[in-house]
Amino acid sequence: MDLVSGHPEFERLLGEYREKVFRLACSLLSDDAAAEDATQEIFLKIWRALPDFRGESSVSTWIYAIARNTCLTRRRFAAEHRTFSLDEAKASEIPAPNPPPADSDLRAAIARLPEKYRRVLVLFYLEDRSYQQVALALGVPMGTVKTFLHRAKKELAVLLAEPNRGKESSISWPALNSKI
Amino acid sequence: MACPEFEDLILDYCEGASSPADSVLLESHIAACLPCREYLAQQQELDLRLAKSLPRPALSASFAANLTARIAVERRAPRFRRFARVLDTIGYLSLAAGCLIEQLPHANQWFGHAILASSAAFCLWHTAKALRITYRHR
Repeated sequence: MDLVSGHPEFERLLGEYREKVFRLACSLLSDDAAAEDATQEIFLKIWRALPDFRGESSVSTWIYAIARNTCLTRRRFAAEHRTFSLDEAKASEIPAPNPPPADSDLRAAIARLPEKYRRVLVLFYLEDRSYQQVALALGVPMGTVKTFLHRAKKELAVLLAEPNRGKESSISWPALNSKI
Repeated sequence: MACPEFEDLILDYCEGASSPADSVLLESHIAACLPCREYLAQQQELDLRLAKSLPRPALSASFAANLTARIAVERRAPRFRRFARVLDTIGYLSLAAGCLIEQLPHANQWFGHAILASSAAFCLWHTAKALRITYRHR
């Protein structure tokens, strides 16, 4: 792939990390479109900063730090400027035209997990079940990843066993997706 | 309910992270313990459901083209960035000079005004930058 960056090292990093950064953004942000836009912003920052990168930390640590900070800034901004239009209010009262996805119970249960557990759980399955990759992406020790993952699964098992879980599963798919 | 001391071992086992020794220990335990066997089956099923319901998202086909366009815009902007750095430097210097002049008993009045004006420009510049950062995601 030949981008206009004119920087072979940047092209290499883009090829190696863009999917990983995108998956991290997906786990931290609400939807795929926002995650893709954030991924572009992250690589723009990398492109700007690469000439000054001194190698004091590893490239992957540096890239993931930029990615996390960018996504968390976007989340903070979104939380501070969240608006709810009348159209959205009406839309939420109308049942979704498409049937919910097959495992809506599970997704509803995931949406009810505490944020820190949900983030680790989602990223673990997006990263081919690699503790190491999740730890690197989130900038936390591997032991923390394992602990949070186990707590998430134990809590999921309890939530899925609850008799009133059907109430949650009636939430439309976009609303669930925004929580994951 | 699974035996508490085997719960994490069962989860490790499902995630393919248990050591061979732990796997042997667990396998011999679950052969004799029904609750742990049920918990293992429940967690294995949950693992499969999670893998199925959390598919790997993919970047759109226009990702590279959009990034290329954004980089191209950035490449056209270095002159503005240099100008911004010069303004920053002038601002910092004028603030420092303003502080110094405050200390001098017989300072020139017009010179003081000029320093104040450039300090104000510096503050305006930084306010504009802060606003740009705040609203650029809109």
